[in-house]
Amino acid sequence: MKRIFTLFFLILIATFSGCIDPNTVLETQNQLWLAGMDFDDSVASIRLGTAAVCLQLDPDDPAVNRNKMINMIDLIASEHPDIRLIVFGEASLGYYYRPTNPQSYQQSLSESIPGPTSTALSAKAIEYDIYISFGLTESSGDLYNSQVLINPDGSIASTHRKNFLTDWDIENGFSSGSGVTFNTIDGIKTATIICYDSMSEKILREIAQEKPQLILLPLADLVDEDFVNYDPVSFMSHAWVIVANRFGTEDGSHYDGHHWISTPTGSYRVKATGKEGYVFTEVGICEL
Amino acid sequence: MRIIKSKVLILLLLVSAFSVQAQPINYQEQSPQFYVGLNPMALTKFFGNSGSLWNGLGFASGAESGLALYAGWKFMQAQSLEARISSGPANLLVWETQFQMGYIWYPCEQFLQWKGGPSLGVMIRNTAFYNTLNKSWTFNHVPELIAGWRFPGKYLDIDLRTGINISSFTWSTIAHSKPAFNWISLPYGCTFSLGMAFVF
Repeated sequence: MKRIFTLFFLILIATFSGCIDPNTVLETQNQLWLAGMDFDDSVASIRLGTAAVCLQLDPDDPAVNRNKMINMIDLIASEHPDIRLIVFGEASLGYYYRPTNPQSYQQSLSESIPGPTSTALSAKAIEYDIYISFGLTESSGDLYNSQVLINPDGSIASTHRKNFLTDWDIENGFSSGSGVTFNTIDGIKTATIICYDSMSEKILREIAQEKPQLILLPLADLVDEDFVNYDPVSFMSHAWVIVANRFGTEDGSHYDGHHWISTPTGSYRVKATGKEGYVFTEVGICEL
Repeated sequence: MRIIKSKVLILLLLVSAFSVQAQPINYQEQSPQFYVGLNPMALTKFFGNSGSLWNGLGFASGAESGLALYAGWKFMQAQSLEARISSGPANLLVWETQFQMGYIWYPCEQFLQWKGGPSLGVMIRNTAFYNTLNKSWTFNHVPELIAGWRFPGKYLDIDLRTGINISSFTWSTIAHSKPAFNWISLPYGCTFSLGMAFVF
């Protein structure tokens, strides 16, 4: 009996050892108990009007999703004339993953950069004098899960390609990018990463070295762990984080639509879930 | 996100504990005054992510990381004061040091003259998280209700405990941060721990 238990225990160890990438940063239980500490930005030297968007996406026609983004930009600009940066979620031209022929599906959605969507959103950036960040499947020889940042003059500021790929990214046929993408938005040092990048030890170390004040973090994330009272990414990196996502059911996978903007102490400044929409806040950059 | 079901780990630990050939007995001798113990599951945190999975991301190690020691003083029959200290990697980027103090009561020792048996108590956890990326400290204070069973042995007593962590008070050296309080949702505040104690 004792040998059976020993063997069972060793099998469990062997099984669990292969389950997770050794470079993944995991939060343990008592880290998840932390209370979200407010950030006092009353003495901020720079302020930036920002919005994180959550859309329900059409599976078949990228043009439908492009128009949704355009309509959302118009809505945000009308309700918040001081908007300066809008962030859309990961891979916003269609479903994130379709179990049947996932690579063919992503190929059908893919665009070059510049392409139809970046050109359309560039016009909006010029119209409202804003920065726009959006996600798409990029075709550039290989396929990439990419996030494009557009300047207020309509030019492409940068394209970030997702580094730390999930199983679904790999099935989608995405190739991995390299490193964090850094920009300056109105004097604010900004980093762009995508979803699972935020759990990479390598990515977090690169962010810590460069010390951005703002991080753009688009997601295609299913469910919010609402028992966690703070955002681990902003807490670890001491930066504002804009988290954009998607909502709805995509071939049986339900996205609850959580999206938020969190402060450098990890607290949620604004947060929403359960439907399409956006959250807006002014991020306040303080001298540390 | 990051919490992994540990039902199999719990089952395994329970079976291991019950395999210890020690049961509560009628106890006529004077109780030991002191005990010193170790939480062996917390040591798995030194093995990176694999270790974190072994202990259910802290669930099966009583939310302790690294080298975790405890000591108790049985100041009266069936009642003891206990202190615990642990230090180790919380994850790849954060180092965690924890100090706990509390009170443990053994009702069957009190009323039935058992040795060991069920235990009830309360602890206060004080945790310091060191962010190795940004060199900041965050401190957390958590009250915990515990229930368990002490299996007295010939040389070692085995402590199995479950805990409910109730609330957090958090403060930090992060610039412009304000202290905060929140309640911890069930079942995420629950922990399980195994201890091995020498009594003398």
